[in-house]
Amino acid sequence: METPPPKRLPKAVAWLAAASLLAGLAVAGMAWAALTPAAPYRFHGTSYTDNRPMPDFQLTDQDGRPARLSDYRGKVVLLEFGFTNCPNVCPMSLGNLAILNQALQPGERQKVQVLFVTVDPQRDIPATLKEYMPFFDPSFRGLTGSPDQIAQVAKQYGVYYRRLPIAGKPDGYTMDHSAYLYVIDPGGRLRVTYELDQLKNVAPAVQDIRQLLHSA
Amino acid sequence: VKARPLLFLIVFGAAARLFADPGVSVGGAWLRAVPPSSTATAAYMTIQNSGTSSVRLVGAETAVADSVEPMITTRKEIDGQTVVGMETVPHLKIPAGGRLTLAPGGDHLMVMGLKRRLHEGDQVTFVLVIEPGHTRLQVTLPVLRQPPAR
Repeated sequence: METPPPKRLPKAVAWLAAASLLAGLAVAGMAWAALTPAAPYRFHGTSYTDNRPMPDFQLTDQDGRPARLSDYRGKVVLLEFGFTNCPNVCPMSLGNLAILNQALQPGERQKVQVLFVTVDPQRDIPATLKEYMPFFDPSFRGLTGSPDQIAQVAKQYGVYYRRLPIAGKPDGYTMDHSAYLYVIDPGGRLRVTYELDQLKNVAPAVQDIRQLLHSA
Repeated sequence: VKARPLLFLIVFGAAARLFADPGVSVGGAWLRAVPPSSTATAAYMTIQNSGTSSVRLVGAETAVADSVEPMITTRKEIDGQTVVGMETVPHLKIPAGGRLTLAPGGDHLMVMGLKRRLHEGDQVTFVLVIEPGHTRLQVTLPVLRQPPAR
């Protein structure tokens, strides 16, 4: 007489088989994800892949203290050139950068620094910048220096600027200047630039900054 | 509550009378609030010309600044990069049946030599000067930090 096959065992075996199959699939999935390179992130601005740290600079901040680019290692630096008597493009872009800054999470904000480098060092002394910057955001820093120091930094970034007389105002002048935002990653490398006009919508830049913060 | 329709009539009546004559009307005007250290700012607005011939905005007068001048924002390619600048122009044209849009980053009225600090929420009076005919158009501009929501 044959003994009836045990009833509980096949069920247990089936469960075990199903479980190992699932585990196997999960492992295979993880291996697949690890081995397949993710599609590279595409920055919304103009992307730079030189992977070369920007040269350090030594300027003076709005409190009259020395400021170097290397002081901000570990942060994403958003750097723009402008001047405080600029009526149109500079307040527009700094206003948009303030909106951008507020769009970040508090933890992210601590790792992002906006720097405004004047191209008008004759008029933009530290005291002027100290009045100017907090109007947009208390965390923004304004940098100035001697005309030679400013010229050198501008050269490093390929920034063009020049004084323009204002008709009928012998003492007055305005400035022509390149209008870009330079995004420097926590390792000090230039990664993305935007035309300042592009910052009217901050969402794409916020996404790019998050990418730089989280891939650092 | 009763005073409201009357107020509306007064305000609307005054505006209509002011704007009806040249066929030019102004909408969405505002002045950018700037930090205390800045002596210059910009005024933005849309000017509509319902007339059959083009007109020119030649400038404006205001008690809060030394001068108000039409400016264009220039974009030049220099060494492969965009350089923005400003240029004073004698006038900005408003085509017949068309409009002139003065907006951040673009054409604007440059306000130079601010005589007092402008605070967000202030209301500032400008008198726009339109040629031909030397039409004077009074406009009230709120002082704002950011463009008004559309």
